[in-house]
Amino acid sequence: MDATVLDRSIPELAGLVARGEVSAEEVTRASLDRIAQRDGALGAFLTVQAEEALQAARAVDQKRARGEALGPLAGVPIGIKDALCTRDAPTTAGSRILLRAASKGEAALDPRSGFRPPYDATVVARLREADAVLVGKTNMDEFAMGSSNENSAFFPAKNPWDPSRTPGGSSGGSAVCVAAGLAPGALGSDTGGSIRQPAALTGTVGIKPTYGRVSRYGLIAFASSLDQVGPFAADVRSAARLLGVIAGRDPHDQTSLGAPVAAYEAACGRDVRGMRIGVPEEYFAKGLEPAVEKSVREALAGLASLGCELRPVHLPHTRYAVATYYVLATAEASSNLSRYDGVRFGARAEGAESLGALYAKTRGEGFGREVARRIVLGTYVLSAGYYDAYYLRAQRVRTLIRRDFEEAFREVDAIAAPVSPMVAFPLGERVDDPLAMYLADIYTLPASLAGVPALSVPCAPTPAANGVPSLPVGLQFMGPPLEEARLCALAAAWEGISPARGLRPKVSTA
Amino acid sequence: MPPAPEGPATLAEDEVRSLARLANLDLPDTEIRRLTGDLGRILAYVRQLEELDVTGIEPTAHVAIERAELRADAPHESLPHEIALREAPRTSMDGFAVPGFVEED
Repeated sequence: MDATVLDRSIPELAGLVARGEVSAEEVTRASLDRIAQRDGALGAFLTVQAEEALQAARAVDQKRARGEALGPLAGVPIGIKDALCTRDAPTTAGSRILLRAASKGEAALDPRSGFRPPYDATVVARLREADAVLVGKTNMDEFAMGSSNENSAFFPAKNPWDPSRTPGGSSGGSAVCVAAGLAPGALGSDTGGSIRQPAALTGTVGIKPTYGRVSRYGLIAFASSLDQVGPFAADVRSAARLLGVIAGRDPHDQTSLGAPVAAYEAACGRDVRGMRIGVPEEYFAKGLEPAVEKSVREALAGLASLGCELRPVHLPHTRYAVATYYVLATAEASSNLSRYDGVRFGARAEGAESLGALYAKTRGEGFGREVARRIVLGTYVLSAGYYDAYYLRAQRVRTLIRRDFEEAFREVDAIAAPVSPMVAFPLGERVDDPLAMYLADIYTLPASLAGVPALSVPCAPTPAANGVPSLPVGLQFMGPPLEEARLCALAAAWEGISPARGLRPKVSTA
Repeated sequence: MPPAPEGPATLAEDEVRSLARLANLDLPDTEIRRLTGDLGRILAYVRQLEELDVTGIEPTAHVAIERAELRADAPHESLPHEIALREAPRTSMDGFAVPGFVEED
């Protein structure tokens, strides 16, 4: 079996399986083999469900043998961010507090002892119904809090373009899974950039849908007014196919939207001539690395050559996005994470003599440093006396940020900008400076706060220089609510002429 | 992107300790000290929101793209008892076991 079948696009791969040119089992074995060969050095997966995956693959092959029609993801191996509940399979959200064994000690630190959810997240159930094969749970910053994957309680994921660097976060494992060809698709979640930033840093495509376009049921909550699930893939069409499967109203999520799901994949290939693209000068400010700016500006010129009309737009409140986000997201997190108390699931501290001590000891031992920091910050901004000054004020600024987008979208069809002000940075470089880490999210936070869809698609990688290898750069498209199809059309058109097209990292097989 | 202001720490260690208590987090003193420094720097940065006049601006708690539908008020099955207890660190008498929290007379 030729493992390069995994490097096909998802529509091609599902077609090969549906026509019986390869079996789902062969494809799944190829994926499991690659994980075994490559992931020791990369850390994309926290747990691999090999037996269950092979079983699911054989079920797809049997379905085909019976002459039944196969789903749109027939036999396609998919990695699932470990923030998504998978029935009976370990789910840790990257945290030791969701381990069933004792909370302290290296010996106990094994994600295989993670919480086993009694149900599938809606997105996971939809992948299974589409005949996808779930190969494993991907690494992430603890409770999706982080931009480098270094806040994983277990081990950091590494960037396949340069394993001394971060793949970004928090969905770093899902990005690495796709970038290193371990599986052709993955799901992540994006609260402030956690899909788009790792997609940019690993040279993959990542989509953060409109808030509510995809069900959050079974997504372990971080900040509920911002969290969205979305796909990663190596190309736009593949990501579009995944989005089409997971999008849509879910009665289990009251915030999920009933609007019809658009034809995202069909939109890839649509003519983009005449589309008005807004270029916000606030996204090309101080702090943007020159090599990133050069690559993004070349992509903008490429869009112009495709017949798009570039127009300057203003998003004047962009500079307040980081402060706004870190008030609102931490406030919501402090509330959401109060459920981890050592009583109903997960870890429990030993030796507590009162209920209060049980809560405090379990949480003190179970949460990592960044999570504790955000819980305390969120507790502060919600506390009496500070609520108006911080929380309510940040909610009002959120309105101003939304209005920036509403006004811009009166003038343009979409906005194009960088995803991250920098390329993948060395592991360890920012981990002790939380504010520097937060500032890495400056260009992804506004779309999250406004609830609008956004995606990242590769543009030209930076040239190798001074011992630093060539590294991926992402181009971000943002659109009005529910215009994911328009973003797919633009991204696919750009992808067709992008110098990054088809580039893959050379991954060592250890 | 705006520079991070080099403001003084705005929180005292004791305030951070009581916040941690409110959040049910038992943290060692070394972590409280580190948190005090981190939160001071983060809050100094967050205070740039004070530059904006937000009088009369409605707060956004949640971006509602469309009106949420009401769910039908119909009974449905809930999680079976044994499944709900399956992941509990400790159970007793068909329930979650916790240390006593009611003073007995």
